[in-house]
Amino acid sequence: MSGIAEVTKGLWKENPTFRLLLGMCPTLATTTACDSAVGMGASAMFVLVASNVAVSALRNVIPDRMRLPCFIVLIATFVTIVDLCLNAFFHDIHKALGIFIPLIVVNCIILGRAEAFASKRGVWDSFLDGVGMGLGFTVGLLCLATIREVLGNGTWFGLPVTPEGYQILVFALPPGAFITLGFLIGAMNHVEERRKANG
Amino acid sequence: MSGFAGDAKAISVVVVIGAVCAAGLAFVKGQTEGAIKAARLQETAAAVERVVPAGCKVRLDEERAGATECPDYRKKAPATAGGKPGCFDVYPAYFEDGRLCAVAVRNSNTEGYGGRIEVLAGFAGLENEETLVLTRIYVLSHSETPGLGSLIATAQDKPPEEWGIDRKKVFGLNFRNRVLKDFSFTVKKGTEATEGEVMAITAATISSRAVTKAVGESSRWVKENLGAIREKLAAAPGPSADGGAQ
Amino acid sequence: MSETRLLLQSSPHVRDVSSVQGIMHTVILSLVPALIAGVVFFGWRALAVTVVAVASCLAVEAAILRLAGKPVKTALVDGSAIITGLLLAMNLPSNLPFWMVGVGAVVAIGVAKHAYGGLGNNPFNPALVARVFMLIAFPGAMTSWPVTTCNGATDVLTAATPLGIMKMEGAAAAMQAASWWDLFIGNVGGCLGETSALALLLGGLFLLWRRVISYEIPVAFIGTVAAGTAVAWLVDPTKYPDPLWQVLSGGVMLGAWFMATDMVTSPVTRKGMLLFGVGCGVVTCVIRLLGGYPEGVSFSILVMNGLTPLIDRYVKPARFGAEAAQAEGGKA
Repeated sequence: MSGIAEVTKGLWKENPTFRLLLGMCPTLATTTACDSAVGMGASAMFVLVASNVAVSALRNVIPDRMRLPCFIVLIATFVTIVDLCLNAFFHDIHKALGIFIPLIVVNCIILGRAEAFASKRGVWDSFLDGVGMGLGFTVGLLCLATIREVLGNGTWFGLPVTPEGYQILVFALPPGAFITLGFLIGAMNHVEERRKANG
Repeated sequence: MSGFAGDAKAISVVVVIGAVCAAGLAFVKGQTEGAIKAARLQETAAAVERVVPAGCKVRLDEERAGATECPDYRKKAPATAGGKPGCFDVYPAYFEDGRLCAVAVRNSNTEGYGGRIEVLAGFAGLENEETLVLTRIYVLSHSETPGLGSLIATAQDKPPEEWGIDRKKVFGLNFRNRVLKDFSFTVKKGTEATEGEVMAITAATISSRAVTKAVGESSRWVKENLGAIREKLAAAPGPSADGGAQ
Repeated sequence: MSETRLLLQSSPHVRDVSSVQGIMHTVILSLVPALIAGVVFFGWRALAVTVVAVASCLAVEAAILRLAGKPVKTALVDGSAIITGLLLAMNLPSNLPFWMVGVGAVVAIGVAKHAYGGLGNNPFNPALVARVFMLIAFPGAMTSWPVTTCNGATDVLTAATPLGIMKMEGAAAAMQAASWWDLFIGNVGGCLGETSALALLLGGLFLLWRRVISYEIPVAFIGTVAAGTAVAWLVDPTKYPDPLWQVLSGGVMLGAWFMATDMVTSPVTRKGMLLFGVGCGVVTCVIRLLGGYPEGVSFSILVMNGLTPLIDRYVKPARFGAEAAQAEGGKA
């Protein structure tokens, strides 16, 4: 697989949000506003790229039966670094994301990519995979957050879009997250089936 | 790989990885610690700045950001203790010449519809009980029903000049520039509320009552401890204890 | 269509002239009294909301059928979208902005009905899904109720419903705000089609007479609400009004006769229906007496809609003759 394909597969074919359905907890919880979705996506992407590279670099050193503890220690370290840096330099985003930053440790995408990809492939491929998956996750969150913020709050990245009084509050709440996610997955499957049917 | 040599290698790899990670984290923590503290102080200072009159300068050090133990004059009566155990947090703001200008008092209770409500209230006119004025409030945290109880925080991030005059639309107007001796902290429904009372939010009477109770407690405390507040917070802290310092 | 499946059930089969269209038209007819009551008590705005709801439900139905490449005309004349629109309107306050009614129609037809596969496949009552969606989406607009025109009020005046008053101020204030007679004829605040117990009863009895619905669900539902609230009333009459008041107020009548009896989303057996009705009543009582919302009828029916497949699975119809054999065998 070429380098570009490693990146683009995370955007569509193996999109973590809409196709692999991984990392659902932050997907549903942090997409009420676009800036927190981007904050979440960027944080996850940083951790993903760093852990992919680290796991891949150490893949011949880490003994097979001790690999999970080692992966977790590495991932937890990167997550804590993100947590501290956000808290220090992007205090508002850190406050908005709250518990979901520490929870990146248990995000299935990250351990999933370490286990399924980085522990078997070279450093460069793993780096590209991390970038692709991270981008896919971020774009997925942003799609969801755009719909939810515009409909539920009438704004996009805090900029007013719809006039006061024309908000559909439910989209800013958990039920709206599930409904929006369902329809986005449905739309994506529909497009995919069309593509397959056309050859 | 098996046997003792394998075990030893596996253990040592984990230990080394753990140690390297720990060292890295210690380094990052050292680098960010000051910035985190400053950001927290900044956050509190920004909230305090909102509720005190324009022209008052907020100066916070760690003691005044409520980080230290609760001195006697700030203790709550046990019966009303809720949230942060039995302590009013008070943040001073000063005139340019260093005299005490206003204080912001943080109080909380768990009587909201969705539980805990935390409110910051600003008080000016600290000369005596007659001149005491509630300048405005700021809801620091709540978990009220979105669209109903959450209206207690409507427009509070905008400057008060943009709030309009309709108490029905902006709950904060109920607590805007009220002379305390003429204000009763009783919650009334819609049109029945007079100027000296609080107009409840439609369909969110419980949330309205919880906020009013928290602010009322703070007001009573300020009234009863005016002397102590003036005395303890009289002098502006030195420049070394300015808002953003470590 | 890849395969044609025949549903096989053991004989005897009953032949009947009823059709989807016939049933739907009867249901529409049965809702007319409640609609008239809504217009009488809340003015022409109530009719306007109803017309907008029905029209937008039909429009959404047509648009989706067209997109999906299904025949548009037959599905439109069967009346199911009209009923969804009518029931949705009945569950809305008459002063609701029209665009919100439109959003409700999109949710009812688009999300609750066609996302699940269209008529006959929806597990939840579409009108109720839309109502609950709107309750969460527009909490302010969906909980400010216009005062009935009989009380000499202008359009803008709003007041709490009797059940809302009960939640906030106890039984005495609630019963003062609305007498039994007010509740019976519908002279109280509330959704435009839910207030008049008299009109809903007329429609419900008409459905019963035309055998579109059977008595099990309404009777079990209303009976359970009466029993549950009677217990609360005996325990603390200062906080809870008497059971008759409770049964006449809120959405119990509308829910029990028209929403819970929806054929698609309720059990098929008589025992199952009884269980369904009792379940609705229990959930309604729990929400009304102990919960945060003043009224729980729509939530209760949706909860029981979700349990319907389970009820149908465990309450199976006895094979023909099996009951008689069991009776002869001397059941303990």
